[in-house]
Amino acid sequence: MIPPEFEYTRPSTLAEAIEALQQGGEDAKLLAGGHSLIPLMKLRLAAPTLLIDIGRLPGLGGVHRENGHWRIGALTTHADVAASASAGVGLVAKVAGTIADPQVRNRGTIGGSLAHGDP
Amino acid sequence: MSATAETPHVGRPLRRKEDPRLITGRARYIDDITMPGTLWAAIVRSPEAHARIASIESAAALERPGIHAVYTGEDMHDLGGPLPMAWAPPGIEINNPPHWPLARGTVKHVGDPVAVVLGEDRYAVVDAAEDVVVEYEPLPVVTDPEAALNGAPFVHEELGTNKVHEWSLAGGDLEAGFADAEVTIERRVINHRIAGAPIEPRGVLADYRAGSMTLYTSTQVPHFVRLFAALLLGISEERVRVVAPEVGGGFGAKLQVCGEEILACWCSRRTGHPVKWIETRSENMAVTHQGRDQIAHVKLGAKRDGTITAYHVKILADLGAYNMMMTPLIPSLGAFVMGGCYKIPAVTTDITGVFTNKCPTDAIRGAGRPEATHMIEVMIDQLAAELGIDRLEVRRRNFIPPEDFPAAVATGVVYDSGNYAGSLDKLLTHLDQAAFEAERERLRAQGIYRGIGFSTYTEICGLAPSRITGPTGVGVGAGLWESAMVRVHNTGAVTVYTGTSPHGQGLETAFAQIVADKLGVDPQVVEVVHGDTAIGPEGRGTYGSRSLANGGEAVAKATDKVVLKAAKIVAAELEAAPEDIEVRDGKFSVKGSPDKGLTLAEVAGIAYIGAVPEGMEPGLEETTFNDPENFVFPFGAHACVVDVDAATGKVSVVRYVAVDDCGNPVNPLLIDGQVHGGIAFGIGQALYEHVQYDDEGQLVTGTFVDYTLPTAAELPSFETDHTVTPSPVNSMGVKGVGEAGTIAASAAVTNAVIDALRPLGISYINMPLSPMRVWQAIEEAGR
Repeated sequence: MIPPEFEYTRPSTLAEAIEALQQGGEDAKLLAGGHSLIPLMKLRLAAPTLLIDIGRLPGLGGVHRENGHWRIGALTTHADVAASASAGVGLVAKVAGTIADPQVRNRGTIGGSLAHGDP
Repeated sequence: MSATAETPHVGRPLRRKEDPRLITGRARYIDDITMPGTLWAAIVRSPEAHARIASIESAAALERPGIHAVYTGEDMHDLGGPLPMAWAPPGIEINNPPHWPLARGTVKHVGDPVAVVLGEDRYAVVDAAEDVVVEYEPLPVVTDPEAALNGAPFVHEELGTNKVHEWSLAGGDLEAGFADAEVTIERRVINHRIAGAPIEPRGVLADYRAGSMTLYTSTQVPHFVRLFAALLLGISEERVRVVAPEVGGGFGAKLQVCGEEILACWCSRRTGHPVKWIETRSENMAVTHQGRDQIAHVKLGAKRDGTITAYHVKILADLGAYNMMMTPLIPSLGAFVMGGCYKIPAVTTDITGVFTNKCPTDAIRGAGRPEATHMIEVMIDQLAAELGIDRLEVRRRNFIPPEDFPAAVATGVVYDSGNYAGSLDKLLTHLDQAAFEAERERLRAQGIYRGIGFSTYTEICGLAPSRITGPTGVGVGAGLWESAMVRVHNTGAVTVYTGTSPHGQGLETAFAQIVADKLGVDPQVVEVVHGDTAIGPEGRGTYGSRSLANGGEAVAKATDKVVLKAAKIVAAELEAAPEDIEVRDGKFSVKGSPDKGLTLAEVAGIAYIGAVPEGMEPGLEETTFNDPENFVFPFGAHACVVDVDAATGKVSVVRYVAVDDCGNPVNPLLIDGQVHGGIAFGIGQALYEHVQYDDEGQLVTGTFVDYTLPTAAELPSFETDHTVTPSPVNSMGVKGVGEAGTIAASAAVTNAVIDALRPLGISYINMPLSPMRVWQAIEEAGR
């Protein structure tokens, strides 16, 4: 992969991430699993100047029961959503298990999929 | 363990000598080779399918840090000529407009190279390439081969036509054959465009210094590349060295003299730096030559009892924008075996090649023969259905019987050996027809339509002999022998130099087995060296399933010469006659006295350090150029079971059973490996893979997301079996097997899908059998 040049930062808190996003302006992009963004960068269809890696931010992942609803964190991987079937998550978990292949499911996040509309 | 008469290495499933370095990541591919002072190359490619180049502005690119130069086609007028169409059917006119490493004036397909940027960093040159501003004046585009044949727009305006060539191969009285026929079947059979898609894309590193050129390139044909690099660059051939290091798959896509190879050499000479270019996957999908893309009108005549009387195939071959190394020849390769394994009195193939604004086509695994097999095998099923006779029975009634071999067929070639009913019988032992029918019934209730398809194939391979492929023959216009040199070292270790250029097949292992048996040594001490024009004799490379039948036979012959000389040395030592010396239990000994003998190391000691018999030259090394008398014709019977989901059109391959006959096996493990890969390739074409362009000539399938290669998830575990019918063409009785699986598979899959769809009123459907196409066919049939 030979993308255009970009800066990279990995904030350790949500506040730092939001600040980096504000300062980076229009050409800053969030990087989580990278399975939508990086293929676009590879083909040079996307050329962000700043990548803010939120992949290790605490508190954004996981599937929880809350007030009679399921809450799925944006950083939850497809594999983790699929695994939540055992906790009682229904159709969403079943669908997550059919996305791409195990490698993609282990990296790709549900938040990234929604943000990119992909898949 | 050394070879003995009781346990020869040949015939055993030895693990591949190549694998330790490959699976531990120690193999050296082009991209692993670095040289001080190297400039990276990035190529500016046309986004237009057809356009005039109005201007190229490179100032902005040159201003970027680390950028050394930008060159265009206008800079390269010192080139000795355009890229070669080296092999072509002789005796016909072929429109062959010049094809340059960098376009001159016009571009003819998306990806056509326009300029090259050289710089110190791989990322920098790709960025700079985006700053090369090319102004294009778009010209009309033609992508449909039938439209292209019928007139303007012309891909090459100066020709006034898109027709490349016409070529025919006819044998027998076609008119009489069809007059005899009681039934005539006609179909439009499409073999769509596919890609080779090797795991390692192409790559080159050219280093010109002190008047000599060294070119490292990921190729199947280093000697051809050297020849044409020398001719086009005007460097004397002995000063050009071409090295194919580890090559990560070729599938025909690296049987080529590529523009990028010539370009990198030219740039290295121009700048005085080594120049490196590594193809990206995107480039590989867009510009590495593709394969197939034939539309055929196929006509089969037969008696009511199933006896075939005549066969006529008219092929329109979409050759893309240019003729590359053997572009117009590819469909012809199928013509020689157009009638398959059947006794057909009259067979005619008429081929018309046509230019379109698409990537050129050339050899891709099987090259012409998968198309031929696909056509005859689907037509046999169509005929059987028309006659109401079992499709295997129709095959049996037309098989060339074993006693006919060597069998001269209507196309003019002589099939070396075969037992077609034998391989079909063996295939059927793996299939339980009653169980299949019961399961088919059961699935029907769930909306799943199960079908079984067969393909009984033969093919022509082992590319040679020069009497046919050479300029005086009917084929290629180039002699296709193969060379080998066997060198026994002081210690009895052995190096084998082969003119073939393996790239994943396991030939280092197979050749070592052959040599080890003859010399009484362990295959582990036999090193097989290939892919370097500076060492070993001139060679012809690896393609057309030729490496074992032709190159392996050369290795066997060269080793026999070594054995002959060793026997003379040993005979003198043991005071016996040379003809009484045999290799037994790792020793050269007198027949009947195996205890007193010399090991190869002891013989080598005499040859190099001691005193050879009077009148004999010292040393223990021999060279052979092998030019066999004939091609070889592997064959077999394949069966494929598919499930079609009538609601979605999705086809799943449930079972695949292959019985192949490639003569005497040298290494059954390698044979299975080749068959497995070949079947995956054929299933890929039948169901998944399809290079597609839109009407503007834009490539739609530029990534592996759109060009869907099958993975393990899509494929069943293959069941393989074999029959053994030795070839009389070479001393080992072997035949090629690299392409056999591919050649057989697409017809087996297609026939299975048609078998599944018959209850829905579908009697014929063309590849690729994508869910959409199958679903649409079901919808149309239901109306």
